[in-house]
Amino acid sequence: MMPPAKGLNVDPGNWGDVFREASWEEALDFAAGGMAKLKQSRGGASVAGFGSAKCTNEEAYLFQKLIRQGFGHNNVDHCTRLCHASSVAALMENIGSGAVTATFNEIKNADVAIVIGANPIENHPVAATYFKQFTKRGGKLIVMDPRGQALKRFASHMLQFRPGADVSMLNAIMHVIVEEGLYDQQYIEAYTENWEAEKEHLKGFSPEKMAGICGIDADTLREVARTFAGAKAGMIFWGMGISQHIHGTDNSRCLISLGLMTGQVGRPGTGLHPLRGQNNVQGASDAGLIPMFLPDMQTVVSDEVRQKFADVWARDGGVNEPLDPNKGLTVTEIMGAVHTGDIRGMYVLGENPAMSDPDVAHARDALAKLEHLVVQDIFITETANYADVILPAAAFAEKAGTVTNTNRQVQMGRPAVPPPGEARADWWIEVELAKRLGLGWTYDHPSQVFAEMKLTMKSFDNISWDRLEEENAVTYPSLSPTDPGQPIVFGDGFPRTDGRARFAPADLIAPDDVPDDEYPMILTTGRQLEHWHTGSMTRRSKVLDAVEPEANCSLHPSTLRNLGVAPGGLVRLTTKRGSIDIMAREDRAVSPDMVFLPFAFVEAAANLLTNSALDPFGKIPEFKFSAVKVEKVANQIAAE
Amino acid sequence: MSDTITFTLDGAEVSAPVGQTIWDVTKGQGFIIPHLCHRDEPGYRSDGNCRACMVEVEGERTLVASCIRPVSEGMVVHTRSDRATHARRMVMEMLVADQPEQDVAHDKSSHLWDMAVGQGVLESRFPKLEDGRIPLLDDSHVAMSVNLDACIQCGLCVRACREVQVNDVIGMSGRGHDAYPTFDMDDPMGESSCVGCGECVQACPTGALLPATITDANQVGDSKDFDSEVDSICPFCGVGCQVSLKVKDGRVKYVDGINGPANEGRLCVKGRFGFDYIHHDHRLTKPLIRRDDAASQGLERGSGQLGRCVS
Repeated sequence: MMPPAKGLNVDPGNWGDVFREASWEEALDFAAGGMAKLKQSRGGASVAGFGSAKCTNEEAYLFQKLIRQGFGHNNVDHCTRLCHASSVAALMENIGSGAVTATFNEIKNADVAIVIGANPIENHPVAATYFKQFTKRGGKLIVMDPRGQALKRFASHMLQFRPGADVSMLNAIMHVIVEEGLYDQQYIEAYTENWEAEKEHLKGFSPEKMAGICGIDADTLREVARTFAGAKAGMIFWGMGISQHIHGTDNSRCLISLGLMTGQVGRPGTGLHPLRGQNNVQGASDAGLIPMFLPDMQTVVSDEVRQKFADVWARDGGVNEPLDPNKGLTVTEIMGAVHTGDIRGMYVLGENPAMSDPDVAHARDALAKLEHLVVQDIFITETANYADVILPAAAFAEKAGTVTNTNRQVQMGRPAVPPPGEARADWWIEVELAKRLGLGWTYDHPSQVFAEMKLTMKSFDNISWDRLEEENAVTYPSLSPTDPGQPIVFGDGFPRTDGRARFAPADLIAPDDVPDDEYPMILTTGRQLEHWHTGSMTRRSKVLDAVEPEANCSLHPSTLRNLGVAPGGLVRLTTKRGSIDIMAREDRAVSPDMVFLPFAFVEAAANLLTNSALDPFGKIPEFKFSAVKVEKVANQIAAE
Repeated sequence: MSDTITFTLDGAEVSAPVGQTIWDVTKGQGFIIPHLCHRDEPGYRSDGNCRACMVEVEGERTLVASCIRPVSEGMVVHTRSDRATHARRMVMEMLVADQPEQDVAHDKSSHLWDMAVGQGVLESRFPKLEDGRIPLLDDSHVAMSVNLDACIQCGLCVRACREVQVNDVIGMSGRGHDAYPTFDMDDPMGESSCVGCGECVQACPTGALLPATITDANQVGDSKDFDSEVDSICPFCGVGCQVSLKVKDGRVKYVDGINGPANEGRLCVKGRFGFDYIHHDHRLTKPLIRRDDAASQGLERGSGQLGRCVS
């Protein structure tokens, strides 16, 4: 029988119709050979790469190096694009650094904290324990979220605002701070710029005017403004509810401005903290798995920066190729370039765009169209369904390497068990491919990669592989070989001209896909406690799968009643991109005109519905807002 | 006022910072006073309820629980006097009376057995609580088992759930001998609002609360029965919790949180119980190449078998 065409049609437990086993030698030759052939016939730009925030720092570094050195361009990206790219864009622009200014544990020294667009009880559960403890000892927690999420119970103020209305709410709060003179004049004068413009801009955003837009009454907005501005030490935490909008960068700009005008940066118990998602998304970004930046957020457009990397990479017999001075394409742009035929081959390591990309039917079509797709993973993911060759990788607990968490803590991961069968560590596979691409790499241990990274990455100063082996964790920046690292940064200015952070005024922009008569409700996506992202890991964990086995969405009880659907019944969700049938749960935390949909379930993939419209700065898609139609499914027999 | 206190500990003059307990200072001197309800880990408040750590303070009528007694200027403490040692052994003996025998214990290597054996208390002269008075096994949760016959009512699970993780699921109900940890309104654990963080199983000193992977079908197990333990990092979210993976026969048997800068020993349901995906039989074990007889491009073929594609 002819095997089926490329599609989402491979059973990960029984793949024999589509794939055959191969030796490492054959598979590596085939994988590298296919990429080399495309480079030869169509130029290096015909091959792009997605690395992973689930791999180690060393593996992320090698991945971006392989694409940049091997194919002469910067079309290499990873899932940070889908999570905090807009936060990083705003932070880089206005405070000169993309990482958090303080660890989340600093909340122990705060008396007021804002958590906005984040659901840490489910998505950062251990960080949430510190937030909850903070409230138990009297800290005021201001939660801002369109969903009445679990932290609501611990909040002194719960602002359940209209989805997508972040900027109006935050500007109104800042308007009050200006109007009532609650800002920190001394801090503003010493450490910021563009204050007068910000002040002027905020005049147009009185709470009375904004209340109708954001759905929070003016008195509450004023009270929250006074509470936060009056804090001795205040922190701001945010998540994907802020970043995953076409105005995600503007949302973050507002939070940064709020932190700056109240002087809540750089002291114990103060700081700006975008809660990073993946175990190594900070590290993968630092390691250069980003199309605009070489490692340590050094821009590709600088001749000096590129020369520095080209020199380091040419050592020890490495290929000496000039690096591309143009910023590369991002995750969603790469998929677009596959559709136009500009990109013909891809190397995807540990990412799952066939589940995680917005408007995922479009992304899946792109994957099916590729002439040569190399997938490196631990399972046959949805993306691997479309592969020409699959390279079996070691899981995190099966290999050595460092990872960097949301707190800027670089930590040592160690192998506990050997990889199954012939699976190999990702760094080994990368090195073998690079050798076959003629790049002259000679690494035989991740510690050598770490040592090379230190040559160009100042953030690793005073942090060595041996030190991490010994101490398990060091926070960067670390000021000396015995300094455990600085939990709080920017107490004496910012890494920008004159050490000044910048106020960036933000205007109101409506979401891209607004409800209308046909699609009257609002769809928002996210995660659940038990399931991680696209579910490839957690749905294969006995405990986690047992606790949350079925694809589900959440709707307000009154909405379900109006639809005539009992809790547990099936609804059909339809957007302009696609349609899924899914079990509906009753949840008062969700507003009556909203649907919450987790994206871990392939059988009802949320991203078939989501909008791929991008934030212009962070190039992050608007996962958090789509117009949706919700209908009762006539046949209420749940699919097995 | 000075920040340091000078007092006499077992005949020697010792200085310690204000606020330290007798237990802490004694540990600093190299002697671990037996303890059960006191958990020497970040975030755990000492409670002083189990009396396993009693010591003698000169001039005081009763023995004191060293885990909650701050040292004070001029205090004269005897941690190893006959009176203190015998009293501590007596507490252990009374607690051991109601425990399942060590060779059929839920956790043969529990902290309680460590402490009992360390004091030479292997059996008890006291009668056991009558059968039928102890709640039966609760195995309603897929990841954890509850065997209250081993419970000593020390309340560490309550502190783990309420104070460390702030989940407020576990409380104590009942009185005296019949006081037991209770989930919500005395619901089975698996049907309660428990979020499965497992802080309680990590804190429990007796094996009354255990990861289900430690015990066998007869609820007999041994938490020290592993071949190796490796310190690493949780593979899930950006918090970056440090974990200790306990490995037996090439498989991860269970996971404990350890004292990393971000998590201070805490974990969530994914980090503690979600590790077994690495042993799933879908794991790729060999390189795979798309078969030659497979169509090279999806677009060349018409509507084929689209398998489990959803509309």
